[in-house]
Order: sequence, then structure tokens, then C-alpha cells
Amino acid sequence: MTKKLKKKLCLIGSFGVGKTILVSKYVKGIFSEKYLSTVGVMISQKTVEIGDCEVLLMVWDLAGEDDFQGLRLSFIKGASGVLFVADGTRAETLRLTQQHMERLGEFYSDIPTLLLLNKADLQDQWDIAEAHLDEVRGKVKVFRTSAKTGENVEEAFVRITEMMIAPDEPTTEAFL
Amino acid sequence: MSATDLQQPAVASLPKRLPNSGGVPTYVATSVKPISLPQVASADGGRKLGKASDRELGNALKPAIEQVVLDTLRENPKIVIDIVYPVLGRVIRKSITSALQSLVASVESQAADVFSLKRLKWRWQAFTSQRSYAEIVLANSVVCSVDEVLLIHRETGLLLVHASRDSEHARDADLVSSMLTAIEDFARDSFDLDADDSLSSFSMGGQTVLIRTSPMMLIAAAVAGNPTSKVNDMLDEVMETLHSNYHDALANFCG
Repeated sequence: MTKKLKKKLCLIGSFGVGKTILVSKYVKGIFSEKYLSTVGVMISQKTVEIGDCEVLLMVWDLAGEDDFQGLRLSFIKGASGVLFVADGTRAETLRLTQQHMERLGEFYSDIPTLLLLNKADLQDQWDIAEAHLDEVRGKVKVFRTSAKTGENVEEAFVRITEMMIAPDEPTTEAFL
Repeated sequence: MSATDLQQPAVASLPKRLPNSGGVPTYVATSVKPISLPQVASADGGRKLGKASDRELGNALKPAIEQVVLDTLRENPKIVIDIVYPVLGRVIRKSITSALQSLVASVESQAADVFSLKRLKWRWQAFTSQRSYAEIVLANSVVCSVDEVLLIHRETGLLLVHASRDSEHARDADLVSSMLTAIEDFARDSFDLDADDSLSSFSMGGQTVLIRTSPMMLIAAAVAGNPTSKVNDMLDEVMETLHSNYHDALANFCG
């Protein structure tokens, strides 16, 4: 018998990293993008099957903020997981995401997290140094994704869902 | 006393009538700002002079009288209420009576030619209770209807239970629940309200969404028409029951 669960998942990242494209292409929504600029969040849903478990992910795409203060923390409360998204062709977005992860850890230290380095299809414009990436990998599991080609997108959603159901990996210890 | 006499400081001690109990007016000198009136030359004697002086006297006293009236009203606004109330009451009663009459007439005209078992029963009810048929129709008519109810976990915004007259709505209920929670958070953040404060309702078109919250959950009921006190009371009652019965389960809810 299939076990049905519902989980809240937040997407956090700077402007233009491709969060909304990820959401609009891979999850189902009924609300328009205007909610991002008005209310500050766009909510969609995605069903992920893990073994005999069917998990309905309620995906809260938070408006891209370059400053953590701009993020509405009230939107993150109750989340079972967070996907951070950075743009692989802009190293500064990864640095901002690292700051977001550190700040979030101050408030929600026990939430499973993953980092998506998006725009993996633009290898010729890749801007992330291996040393920088190694530093990040020491703190959080990283997926190279492409919203354009779909590379690793499904895998990332499945992985974060597994972590939310059984948060056995110490992915947030770096925030402490 | 002539018009020229009014220019004199003697006017400054115009008497003020005091209430007394003996039937004979009692006066006391009071200080009034001296007024000056123009000299009026009249060929036909006192009549023209009298009219002109009355007008000038009125103009001269106007600011002082206005000030006295305003001061009195500020000190005791009940005077105005006492004066206006009977007039206002009559106007309001007339307006309400007229609106109700037209409503009853409208219901009567709609119901008059409809022949059904239910309507026959209402006619019998009207006959036995000595009330008009229209009154019975109105009492039995649905004033509002609850079209959709969402029970939402407050912290996560996840939908716990959903009931709807229209099965089409059911598919988006999860999304609506989360968005409703987000809007509530947005409103609270934007207006710097306390964590305990919450949206209680919002209306658009003919729909009103009534919201009841407890620390653990939120009930949102979409109501078509004007929500009656019965619907409001029922929501309060349901929320209280759910809170007492499921508090522990919801405290540990994780999806």
C-alpha cells in the first residue's frame, strides 16, 4: 500500500539563477509569476515517488534576494527541506548563496538542504573555480543542474525528498 | 433705544436672563463685546431704520452666537443627538421598511406561481402559523452557502482536509492552502502584526472567505452570499473542537 506524505520545500537563490524556470518546467503550478514580485513567493507542487512512498512536495519559490534580510523568514517556517540555487556562470551568486546558507542555519539548523549549481549546459561560460566548489562541497551536497536540458533536475528533487523523509545525512552541520 | 444708542458701551452690559422659579424673569448684567452700527438716515422714519438695524445687529452678533453654539455642542453633543434622533430614526425606519417590503414583494412574486410539494408545505406552515407566505419563503430560503472548506496546518501551510461542493476545486486545494498561508504571513509581516494576529476574512465579488485560526491550524471557508451568524458560530465551534481533540497530533505533524 502506498504511503502518502506532504512536505513543504523552499527554493532560495539570488536573482536570475534560474529558480523560476526550474519550477515552471518541472513542477505544477496554478499561480502566475507575478506573485513572486507581489507577495514574494510562488507556490507550486510536485509529486515524487520514493519506494512505496508518494510524496507531494509543496514547492515555495521565494523571490530572489541578493540580501538575506530581504528574505521573508516567515515563508521558510515549517519547511522540511531547502534547495539553494546558484548560477554556475556567475561566481558571485554562489558566494551569496553561501551567505544565505549560513544565515538560514542560524534560524533553521535542522532542515535538510541541497545546492543546485544551475545552467550546467553553459560550460563555456562556467565561472566557478574547482577550489571554490570543493569548499562548498564540504558543507552541502551539490548538484550541477540545467533547467534547459533537465540535467539532474529530477535527481535533485528525488534526493532532497529522500533527505526530508529520512534526514540521515549531516548536510546542515556546516551551518552550526 | 435708538440705533445710535447701540454704539454706546451701555450695550456691553446687556442683561442675561436667568431661570427662576417665581415666574418673574431675573436678569444679570453680562459682558458682551461692544458693537458699532452705522448711522442710518431714513426718510420714512423708523421702519427702514428698524430693518437696517436688525440686519446689522444680526451680522454683528452672528460670530458670537456661532461661537456660543459651537462651544455648547462641544461640551454637550447629546443635545444634537436628542434633537436629530427622532428625525433620523423615522428616516432609517422608513428606509428599512421600504427595503423589506420590496424584498418580501419580490419573494412573493417569485414564489406565487411555483407549485411544488415543498411550496405547498410552506403554504401550510404560513396558514397554521398565521404568518404571510412570503415570510415563510424567506425564512426557508438559503441566505448563504458554504461552498468549500479547507483545514490547513498552520506552520507548514499543508492541507489536512478539504471538502468542496465542486470536485474541480479539489485538485488545486493543496496549492490554495499554501498560498493562503503565505498571504496570511505576508499580511502579518507587512503590517508588523503579532504572531497571534491573523486574517479573519476577505471578500471578493459574491464570495467571502471566512478564516478561523488556532495556534496549530487554520480553517478557511469559502461562502457564497452574506455569511450568517450561524455559519460564523459553527466555524468557531468546529475550530474549538478540533483544537481540543487533535492538539497533540498536530503538534507532532510533519506531513
